[in-house]
Amino acid sequence: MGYGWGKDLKKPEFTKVSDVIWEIPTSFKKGMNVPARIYATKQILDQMDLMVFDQITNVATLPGILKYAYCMPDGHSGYGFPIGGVAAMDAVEGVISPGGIGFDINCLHPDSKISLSNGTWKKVSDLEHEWENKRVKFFNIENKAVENATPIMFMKRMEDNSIFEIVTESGRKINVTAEHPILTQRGFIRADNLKETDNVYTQPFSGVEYEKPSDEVIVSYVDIERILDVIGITNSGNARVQILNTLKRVGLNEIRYNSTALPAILKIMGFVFGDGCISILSKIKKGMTAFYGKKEDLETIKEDIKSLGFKAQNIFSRQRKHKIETYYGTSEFDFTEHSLLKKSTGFAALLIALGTPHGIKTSQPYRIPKWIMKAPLWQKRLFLAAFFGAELSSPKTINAYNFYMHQLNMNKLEILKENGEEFLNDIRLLLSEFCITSTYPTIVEGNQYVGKKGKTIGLRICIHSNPDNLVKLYENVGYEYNKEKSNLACLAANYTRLKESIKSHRSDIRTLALEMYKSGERPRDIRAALLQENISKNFINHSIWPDRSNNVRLPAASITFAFDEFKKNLIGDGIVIDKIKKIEQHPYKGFVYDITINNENHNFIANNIISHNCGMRLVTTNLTLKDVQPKLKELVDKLFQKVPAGVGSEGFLKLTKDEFRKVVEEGAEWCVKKGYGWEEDLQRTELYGRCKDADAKKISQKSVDRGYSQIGTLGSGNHYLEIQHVKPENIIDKATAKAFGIFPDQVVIMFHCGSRGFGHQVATDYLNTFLSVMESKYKIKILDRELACAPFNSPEGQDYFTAMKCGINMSFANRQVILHRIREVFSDVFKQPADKMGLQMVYDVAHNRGSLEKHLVDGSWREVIVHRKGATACFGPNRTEVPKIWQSTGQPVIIGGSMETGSYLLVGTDKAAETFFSTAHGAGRTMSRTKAKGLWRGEQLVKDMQKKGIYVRTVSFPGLAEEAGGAYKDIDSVINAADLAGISKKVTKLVPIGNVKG
Amino acid sequence: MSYKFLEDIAIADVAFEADGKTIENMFEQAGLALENTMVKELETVKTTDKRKITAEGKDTETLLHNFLEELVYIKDAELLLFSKFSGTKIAEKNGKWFMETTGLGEPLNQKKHELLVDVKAVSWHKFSVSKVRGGFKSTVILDI
Repeated sequence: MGYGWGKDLKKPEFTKVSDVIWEIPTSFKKGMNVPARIYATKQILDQMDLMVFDQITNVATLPGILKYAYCMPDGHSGYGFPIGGVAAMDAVEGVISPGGIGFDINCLHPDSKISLSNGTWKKVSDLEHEWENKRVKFFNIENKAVENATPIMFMKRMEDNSIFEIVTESGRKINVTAEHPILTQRGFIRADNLKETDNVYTQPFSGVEYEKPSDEVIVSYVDIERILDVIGITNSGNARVQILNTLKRVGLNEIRYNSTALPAILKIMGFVFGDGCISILSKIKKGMTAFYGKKEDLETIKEDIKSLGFKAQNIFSRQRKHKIETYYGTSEFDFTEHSLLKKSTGFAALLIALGTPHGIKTSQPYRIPKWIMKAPLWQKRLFLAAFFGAELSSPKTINAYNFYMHQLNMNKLEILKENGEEFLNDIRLLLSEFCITSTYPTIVEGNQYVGKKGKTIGLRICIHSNPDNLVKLYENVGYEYNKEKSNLACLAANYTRLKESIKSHRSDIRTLALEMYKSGERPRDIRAALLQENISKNFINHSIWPDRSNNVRLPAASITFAFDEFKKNLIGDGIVIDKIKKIEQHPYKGFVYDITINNENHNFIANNIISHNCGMRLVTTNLTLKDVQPKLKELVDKLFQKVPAGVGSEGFLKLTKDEFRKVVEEGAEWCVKKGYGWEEDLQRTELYGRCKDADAKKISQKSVDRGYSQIGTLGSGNHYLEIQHVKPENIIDKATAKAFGIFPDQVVIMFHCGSRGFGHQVATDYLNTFLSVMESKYKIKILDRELACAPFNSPEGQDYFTAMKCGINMSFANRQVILHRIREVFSDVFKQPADKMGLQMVYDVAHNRGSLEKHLVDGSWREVIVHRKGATACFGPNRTEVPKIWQSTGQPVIIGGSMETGSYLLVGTDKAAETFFSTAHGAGRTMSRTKAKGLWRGEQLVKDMQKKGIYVRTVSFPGLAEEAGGAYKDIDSVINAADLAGISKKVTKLVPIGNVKG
Repeated sequence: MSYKFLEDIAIADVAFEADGKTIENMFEQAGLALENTMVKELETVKTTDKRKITAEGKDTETLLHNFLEELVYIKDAELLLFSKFSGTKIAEKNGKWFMETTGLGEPLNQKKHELLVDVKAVSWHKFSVSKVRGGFKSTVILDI
């Protein structure tokens, strides 16, 4: 899905913002949340590969991205993010950014019904003006349950191409655009990639169309007071006032049709009409409501009681022995009775005021409250479904294939027979509003007994079991507060639909067979043409000879699956697997709609980019070119020995794995404590050399295995250590150069390396974690798996952020140990202590990291996660992110060029606020390594560089060829672009004289 | 069955394509391509050490990705390079893919092996496994 090769990449139309800023509008690609901005001169822009633009616009689709997706002048294609890519994501809860959290319901036909909370639905096109206050249902794959979430974005767009119609075997239909992902057993699959054998997930229950309730009062304060009078609660001991105050506090002293509490109240009432009981203990003048049922269902009731603002009591369980005399004989059994008690007189009084019977229901008359009979249909359903959850029989098959009629039984004193019938007729009336038919109330023979209060009789109504009637019952009413029955109803709905669709197919075949026969075809040929699954030879024979029965019903023997077997298709609460029967693409012109939902978090950390954590360190000396030149070869040779580089290089530090865990928590601070550096080195390192709150518990054993022997090693690829010369004519900003400790003719050391295998393993581990939860748990759709991400505030996002800090610390520690080795080599070669030769750090800055920073966005300060992928932070003066000693100058920015052409020292500026204080990090490649290796030979390169006065040592000649100057953009023009844009200012250029290459 | 490095795909990294008549052949070739990215001549890596390597994944793409990641891990954690894979078996069970193979090779030695660049990770960027005429093919970008 969208991970293809992209051979047909198109060049964007750029809008020129300035000579060095080019914008790609969001219209360039579907899903872009912000425009992309390329910082480059026209010449550099033309040199950039098309993939850069594809990748930076992919970044622009990430949820929560702020302002722009930036690409620095050294930008070139990477994986996921381009190298030189910068993106800032909102980290503040409650600030909703377009795109917030991935797409759940994506580009649907206007007639598509969206399931909402409280068993309601609405057509997506009707939601256009009222989506904000709705709760949308979604399937939480992790706990396999349907849950509610708040929509945070609604989109409507014109589709002028086509739409896919997907029909399942049970006859469900949906029309979606090509890129709309559908959840199948293979995961989320785009509509245009679905296969006809795919099993899709369906929620058979659909409920009732939402209708806005009126604000008519159902029960007022006065009504509740009257009930308190009736049940004998006076104001002695202040009881009455307390009860009324409690109700007032939770906002239940008055109930209207549009009260937010009403849906939960309706369900609670429905259940109490069935398996609940309100008792008023007259002696102590206290009310109590009891619910009996399965533990899991009582938990749901408890949640609803809590949602009303009441404290919920615990669920009690007790063993009971039961003996029932029935028509069929005496039945004895043990069972565990679970009950939920809500001891609250106010709660009980409210339910009574609303028309709920209290005391023993058998011995008193009651009807369904009149206000329910005139409520909107969806409110009636809540009452009815909860009542059914308690009282209506569950879907059961007679012969494994056909369902019994559903029974609703009630016991009543014989003298209340008429009232019992009236109540059941109320239920029948409600059912008829859902177009569900049922039998008249009848007396159940054998269900009578004589108790203390007199003779009791059993009354019953049945819901007709014709398929159409049952499907309406299961799909539009269903059961509340009874998970088991509710799941069975969902299964039964799909099962019945499936059977019906086979039946209608058989009927078609029967007609066809007869027509073929009448037109003179031979029975043998007809059989050959029509024989298929569910159509037997006998069936065709029966069809041809008209004297045979005309029944198209499925004979038991011909059905390949019984209901019991079908039950395996339930894969989550209310979710049933359904096979796709056909997928058709139709031309379509018209609006399509999108809803984006939010599960609590909407901030993201995009993974791939953050953890590699390489960085640059620049070290000054008080030596001049004249001092160093005679010893250059010896210096480089010794550095080559002491700072291991290349594949499989191991450092001189031998650590236990436990000690390594300390290193990644403490960073360069650990090194200084152990004697590998000076206190002041920390003052000159970003974050003072230690990224706080790094926790080694969040990294894997594998990452430790890979990293613990690599401290103090350069690595390979573009990692290097250079001895550089400050040519007097190359100093551009003399004052700042001086402040940074730079003087003409000086020799400085620059090196570039990262957290080695460790950082990569951390990234890999979390990439895998994110890939597994991103779509399923957080509904984030990305255009490239390398952009795998999770909400910043999710457990996964936070774990990664913590683990990534370990990666940053490893890279600080690695560069600190290398600095220590450089000092050793210099003292050895020049026979004097390192501090006598300066060897002072200018700065150490990471250029691949995700960092939580405060930025001014549209006039207000916000916490954002800035992702800098191959981009350098460049804070201006007086920013808290800059160490104290550089407060007045701004942060030193170290940008490494190719090994042949030179590098730059720049300084951060205030103007860089526009790029979230980010700038280039290098020259940027223009061709692949494989191609460079074909163009240059390492051995020749060494000779050519020698001629230019650069002495090189490398572990790998082919590796060196890949880094040839010609494989990179011209560093001067990259730096000029950054300087012109003002996002960092040139201080000095540095040219290489010696190089150790990994 | 073979592999080839691609020029114009990944600018900062190394990309290759591997194919094989069977999925097992293709996996072995992809493994060799990864090793060959780090060592110039695979023939210089003797087959004195044997190591059993296993991987699993939810589909063949994840399986190949995890297998290659495992080779990167072994290179760093155990300093082992391979020049041959044998007895490779790949199977699907209950919707999950499993592989096992024996890697034959020897410990990395900078003096003996001409080393090229270090593979730091296997990228998901443009990663693909596909069934083609006459077998299987994969495209992989390695993070350098």
